[in-house]
Amino acid sequence: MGNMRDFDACHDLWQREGKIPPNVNWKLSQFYETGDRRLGMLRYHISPASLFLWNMLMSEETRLHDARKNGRIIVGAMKDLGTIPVLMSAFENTTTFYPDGAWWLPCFKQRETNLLDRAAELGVGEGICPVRTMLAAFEDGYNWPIPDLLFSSVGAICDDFSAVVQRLHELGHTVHFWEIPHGRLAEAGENVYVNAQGKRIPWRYIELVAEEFQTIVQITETATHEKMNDAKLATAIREANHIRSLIHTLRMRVYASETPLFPALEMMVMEMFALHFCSDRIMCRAMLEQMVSELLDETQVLPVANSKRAPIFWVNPTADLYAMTLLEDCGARLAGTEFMFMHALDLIPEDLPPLQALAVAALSDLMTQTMDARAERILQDVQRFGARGIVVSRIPGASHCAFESKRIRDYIQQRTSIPLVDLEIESVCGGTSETLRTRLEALVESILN
Amino acid sequence: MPLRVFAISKAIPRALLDLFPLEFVTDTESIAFQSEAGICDTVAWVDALFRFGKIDCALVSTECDQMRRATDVWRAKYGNDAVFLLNVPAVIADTIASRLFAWELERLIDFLSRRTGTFLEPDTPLRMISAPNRSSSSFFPNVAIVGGPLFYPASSLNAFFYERRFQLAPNLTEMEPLLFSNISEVSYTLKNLSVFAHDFICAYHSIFRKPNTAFYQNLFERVRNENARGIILVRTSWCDQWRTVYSRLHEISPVPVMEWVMDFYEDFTHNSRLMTRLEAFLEQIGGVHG
Repeated sequence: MGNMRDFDACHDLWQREGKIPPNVNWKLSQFYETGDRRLGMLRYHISPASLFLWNMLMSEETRLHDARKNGRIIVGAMKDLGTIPVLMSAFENTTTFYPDGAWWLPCFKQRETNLLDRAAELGVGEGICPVRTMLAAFEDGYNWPIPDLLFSSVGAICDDFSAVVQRLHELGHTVHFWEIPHGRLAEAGENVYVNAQGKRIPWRYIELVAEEFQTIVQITETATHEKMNDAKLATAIREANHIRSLIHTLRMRVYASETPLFPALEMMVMEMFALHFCSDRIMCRAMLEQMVSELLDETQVLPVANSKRAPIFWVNPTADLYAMTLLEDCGARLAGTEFMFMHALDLIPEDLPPLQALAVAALSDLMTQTMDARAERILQDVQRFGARGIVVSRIPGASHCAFESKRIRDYIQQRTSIPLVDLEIESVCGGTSETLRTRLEALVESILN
Repeated sequence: MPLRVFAISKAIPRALLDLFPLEFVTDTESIAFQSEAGICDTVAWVDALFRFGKIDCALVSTECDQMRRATDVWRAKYGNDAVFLLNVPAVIADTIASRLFAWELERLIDFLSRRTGTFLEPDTPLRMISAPNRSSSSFFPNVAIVGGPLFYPASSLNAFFYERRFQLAPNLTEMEPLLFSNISEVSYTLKNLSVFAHDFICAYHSIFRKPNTAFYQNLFERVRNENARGIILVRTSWCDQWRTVYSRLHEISPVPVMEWVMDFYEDFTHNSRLMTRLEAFLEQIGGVHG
C-alpha cells in the first residue's frame, strides 16, 4: 500500500519491464495536478494491475474526447446501470459512458469546481442526490463530449434521478426515455421467467422492455448507419459475460479471503467497470485479466490485510472514495458489496433471444424491485462472503436511502444478529470523517470482541 | 361494509374505483403523525391512517419512488393486501404505455374484486369525468394551484383565498380528480378496457411522465382558459419531483409563479413569513383589495 507518489515512482520501471501496457502512460500525479485533488488523500494498492485500473478510470474523459475526434458516436446511458452499454457495444462505432458518473466529480475535484453549486443554479439544488452534478457537467461541457445519443430508463427509478434527467431534457439535451417497470411480484398463473437469482419476472414485462430495446437499436442504427442483428448482439452479451466472470472471480477471491490481495478502494472502482467497461471494453478486459493474474500469482505482491481485520459488507456506493480508505484505517476489510448494480455483475442469460436476455438483465435490477428483494440478496452475499458486520452508506438527498437503510436493517436483524450501521457519506466527507471513523471503529470493535 | 381506501394518485382512474363499494377517506381527516427526515409527509400520514384503523387499504402508484418504497413498508406492517401498487407507465410512447397500463388496470380490478367481493360484468360502463368546456366565471380573479398532494382541507384553502378576493382555479394538485376533454362521445366498458386504458393514459399529463412537456402545455392551457393571473406551486418538503418543477415554471410560465412548501402538520395561517409571501404574491398579480 502506498500513496500517489509511491505509484509514480514505480510507473517508469513497470513500463520498461513491460508490466503495464504502453497505453497506461499517465502518472497519477498528473491527474492530481490538473485538479483531481482527492487523489492525494487516498491510499493505493501499489501494483501494476492497480496502476492500470487507476489509469483507465482517470483517463476516461480523454478517451471520450478521442472517440469524438475519431468520429465515433458517443452514447450517454443513464440510470439503468449496466444494460444499455452492453447493447451499444454490439455496434462497431459507438462509445458509451454513464453521465451519472459525474456524481464522483465533486469528490475528485474536492468541490473546487463548485459543480454542486452550479447544478443548483441550473434548478436542482440541495436535497437532491449528488448525481445532480451531471447537469453542470453537461451545461459547462468541459468534462466530456456532449453525447450524440442519450438513453435513460424511467419508471421504477429514484425520484432524484427522475427529476434530474427531466431537467437535463429541459435544458435542451434530448433524452430518449425507456420504461423499466417496477419489479412487482408475479401474479398467480402469470407466465414468468425465473432468473438465476430465483426472481420470477412476468414474461410480458420482458417483452415490453425488449420492445423498448428494439426502439433503441433502431435509433442507434440510424445514427451509426450500421444494421444490427442477433449475432452481433449475442457476441456483445458473451463479451460482457466474460468481463462479468472476471469480476466475479475477483469478488469471490477477495471478499471471501481473510487476507485479501486487493483493498476496498480498488475493489469498489473495479466493480464500477462492470457498468460500461469504463468506455473501452477491450482495455477493460485486459485490465481485469491483469488483476486476476496478479490475484492468482500470490508471490507477486503482499496481501493488503491480515486475518485480524473485521470483515464488513458495504451497501451502496460512496460519493467519497475516501470512505473505503477510512474503512481499512479502522481495522476492517471489505467482505462483499452491494453497490446498487448487482444486475451488472450477474451473468446475462445466453439462452434467450438477445434483446429479451438484456430485458431480463434490466428487470433483474434490485433497485427496481422491492426493498426486501434487495435485502435478501444482501443477506445471501453477507453469508456467502462470511461478513460479520454491515455498513449501509446513505447517499445525501437520495430518495431511496431514507427508506432503505431502515428496511434493510429490519430485514437483516429479523434474520441474523449481524451488527449493522448506517452512515451518510457526503461527496467530500471532510468535516464528518471523524464521526465516520468513530462509528466504523465502534463497529469493528464490536465484531472483533 | 364498503372498503375504506385512501387513493393517492390521479393515475388511478376514479371511473374504475367508482364501480366498487369503496369509502374514500379524504384529505380532511385530521390525525396525528410523526414526520420523518427525508420522507414525504404523505407517507407518514397514510401510515397513521393505517395505524389508527382509519383505512383498510391504500391505493398508490409507482409514479413516486417514495410511494413505491412506502408500499414495501406498509405491506410488511399491515399485510400484502393492505396496499395496491399500480405500475403507471412513465414513458409517453403510446403503445408501450397503453399496454402496460391496461395490464395494470386488470390487476387493479382483480384486486378490488377480491377485496370487496364485487365481481363485475364485462359490459359494465366506465365513465370519465369531462372537463368543463368553458371557463368558470367568478366575481374574483383566479389563481391556479398545482403541485403535490394538498393535505390542507380544500374547503379551508378555498375560503382563505376567497377572503383575499381570489378564486382558486384551476386546481391541478394531485388530489384533484383528473378531467378529460372531448371524450363525451366515447363509451367505455370493461370489455374494452384496453381502449379506456389507452385514452386515459394518453390524456394523463403529469410531471411523473417523461418527458413531461405535456404537463406544462395542459397547465398553461387551463391557466389561459380560466384566466388565472398566477400559479401557486405547492409541494411537501421532501418531494424531489415537484421541487424541480418550480425551476421550469419560472422559465416558461406566462404568469407569475410562487412556490409554497407546505408543512403537513402546521396551520399555514400561523406561518407569518408564508402569509406575507402569499399576500405579496396576490398583490403582485393584482387582486381586488377591500
